[in-house]
Amino acid sequence: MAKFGTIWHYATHPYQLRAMLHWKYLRDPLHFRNPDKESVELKKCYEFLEMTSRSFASVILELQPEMRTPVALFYLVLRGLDTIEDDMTIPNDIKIPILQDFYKILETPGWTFDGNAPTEKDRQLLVEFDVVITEFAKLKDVYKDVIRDIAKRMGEGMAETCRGPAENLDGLPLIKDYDRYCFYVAGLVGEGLTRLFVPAGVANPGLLKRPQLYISMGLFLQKVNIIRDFREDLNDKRSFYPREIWGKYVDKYTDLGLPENEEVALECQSEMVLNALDHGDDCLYYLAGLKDQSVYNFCAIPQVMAIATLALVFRNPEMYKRNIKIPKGEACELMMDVGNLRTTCEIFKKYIKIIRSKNTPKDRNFLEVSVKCAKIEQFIEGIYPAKQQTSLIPRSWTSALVFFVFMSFMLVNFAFLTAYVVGMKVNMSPDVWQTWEFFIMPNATTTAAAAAPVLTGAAGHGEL
Amino acid sequence: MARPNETPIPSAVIIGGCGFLGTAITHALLSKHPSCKITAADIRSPSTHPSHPNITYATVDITSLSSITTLLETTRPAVVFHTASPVHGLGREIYFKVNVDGTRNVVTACQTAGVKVLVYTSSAGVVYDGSALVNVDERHPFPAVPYDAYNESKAIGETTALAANNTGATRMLTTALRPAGIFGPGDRQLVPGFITVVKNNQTRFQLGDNTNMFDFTYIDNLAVAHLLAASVLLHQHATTGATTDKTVDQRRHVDGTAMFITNGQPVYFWDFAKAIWCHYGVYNAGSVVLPATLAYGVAAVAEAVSWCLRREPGFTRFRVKFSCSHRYFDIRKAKELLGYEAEVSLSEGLRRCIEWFRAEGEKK
Repeated sequence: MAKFGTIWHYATHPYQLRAMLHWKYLRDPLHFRNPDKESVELKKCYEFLEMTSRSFASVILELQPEMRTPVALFYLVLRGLDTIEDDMTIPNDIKIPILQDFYKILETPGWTFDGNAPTEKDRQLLVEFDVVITEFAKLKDVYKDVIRDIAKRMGEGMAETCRGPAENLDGLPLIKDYDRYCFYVAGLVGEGLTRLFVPAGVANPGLLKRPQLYISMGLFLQKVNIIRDFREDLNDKRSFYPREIWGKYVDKYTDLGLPENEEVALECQSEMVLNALDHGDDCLYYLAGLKDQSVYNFCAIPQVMAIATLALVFRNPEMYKRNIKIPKGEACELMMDVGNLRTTCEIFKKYIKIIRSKNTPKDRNFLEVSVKCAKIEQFIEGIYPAKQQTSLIPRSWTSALVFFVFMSFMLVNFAFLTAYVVGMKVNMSPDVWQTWEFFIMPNATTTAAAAAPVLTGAAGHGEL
Repeated sequence: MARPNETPIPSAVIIGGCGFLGTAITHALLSKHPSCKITAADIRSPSTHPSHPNITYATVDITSLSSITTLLETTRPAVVFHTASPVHGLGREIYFKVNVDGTRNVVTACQTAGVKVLVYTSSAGVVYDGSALVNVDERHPFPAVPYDAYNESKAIGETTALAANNTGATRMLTTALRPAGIFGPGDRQLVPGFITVVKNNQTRFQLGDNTNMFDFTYIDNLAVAHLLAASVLLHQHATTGATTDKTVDQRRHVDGTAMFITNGQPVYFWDFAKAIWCHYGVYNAGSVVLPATLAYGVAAVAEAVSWCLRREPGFTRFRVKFSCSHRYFDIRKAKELLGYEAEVSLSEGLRRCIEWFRAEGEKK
């Protein structure tokens, strides 16, 4: 069934199929790695990158050479932290000190960790973490400071989470807590990346003066993932929806997944989407500050995937039943189309339109969602004013007159045609009918010659 | 030190003080400037309005210079809010008499009475020329040909009020606020129009594709904007005085300039309508979409028929155009210079408004 669904999808979306093939076989990456010039450890690091990340590896590998290694190592450091935090088999008294001291570990040559459960998929990264430490030591000081600082703060945030209950089926208490959690796991990444980009000259220094923008970059991605992963997280006995939101709709968090609550669950979902959409215009604003194409792609691709995912999950009951994802072809199409800020804005507008088409007055968040969509559209209009709206409505009396004359012409034509077809007995001169035969039945002139007298006879004198 | 937009307003005269906006300004003053001496002046004497030690009611006819001068000479307020304006549909003569001559009288009286700040309530319609208004800001000029007599008279009134900046004995400061789509409890035009559609059972029709964005203003937010403008200008009056440097961008100062005020939440026109209608149990509105061009043609025919039958047309080309084109504004100037932010959101405002209509309906 799933296979048939896939075939049907690409049969009806050929452009996505084309994008997928193009992405795979025809595209020239912006930048290439040159493995011959890399040390054994660095090669190993890139192997880990491809092993641990599904979506990020390709965009990181295409980053311009100055940024590629710092960003890749930054990613591996965070992945290392995450692998320790996620593993429920590590007792807290071992886990918490590692998380808190992870930034010091980065300066400890030869540090490795084999305490992860054998089932942990990224376990090998920590088993051979010394290669990351070796390469980290070779980075410029300015990059090292940033990565260390973010690792320190994120480690603290994670330690705090670990002290809480291991299983949570109540969500986070308030929207404030939800934002705080998202800040620790994603907003900090936005900050770190921006602090790597600015010294390298690939981003406008003004981005550092507007923390709200880079925080929004992270929060938007994280919130979309949290919304979408409802089912997956629930299966893992985790939950992140803030009670301040879901509490308005159901009494117990797990009730959201029950079929009989579908209608209220959809309203809860739209409020979650509404909350995430709030970051949309900030993300576009941030993207406007990037100066290098490869860095732009690196930042913009996850954002367009996020808005596409948001449009997919919005008022979609399937999300509560299983893990839904945008089709691969659509993802390829987005990666190909992301291009520059203008095209990214077009993509945002396209998905805003999809969200709007699914919005319904039955939902108590209807107007709020509409306002938020319009807010993003207004922001886009502010940076790329659309050409004066071409109105279909006649603007002046002249065009109204032309319209009127045209319509009357059509009306008269239509009347004549009807008369001809039904053979109504209209009193008119034979010339008119000949004109009609000339235009309507050019191939029937021979028969028309014979038929004409009959017809004209009928038309002219046949009333009685 | 308090911020400029928190400067206390010691005394104020509200012209049109018993109207829709004037009442809202009175309430806002009572809550935000508790020591302000308020004079609510209107052409009609008030029927049911709050009695409060700080409020005095007065009758005034702004078309008479002596009437308004007497009022201001006796009250000597620091601030005058000029909100009086005739309702739509009264005709050119009355518009010009009130909006043009009346405003000139108010300005003259303010100049002689030593008023420090004059805030004139203009209208976003002053820049309307019949075509779409897309994210319009204060750089947008008045149209060469005014759209109608009402907007023309409001534009002249606005120009008169702004020209009076830095004049009079006290070097009075003036500003004009241009609200768009005012609604709220007590609204007799905007929301009732949408409610009529429900009552006539016409909600299934949607004109156009609903991509056009529209700006609305909840009445209390507009009232707060008036207070902020007055406070900012009082502060400026006490410190630097008027902006005399003509090279300063008009979007960088309040005095002598106009600014748009809305909720800052433009929304798709038919979504706003649907949000109102769902309060009346209609959830499937807009199931029949008429393309704008077709609707325009039908409206033209309807107008012609009504004209022949000597009846007031209900479905007009103006209404089609109004509901199918963009009409939204960029209010960053007000946000930056006044620190204005809509305190009541669009959906909350709508909820309060509908609640009020329900209560009114029950009274009758």
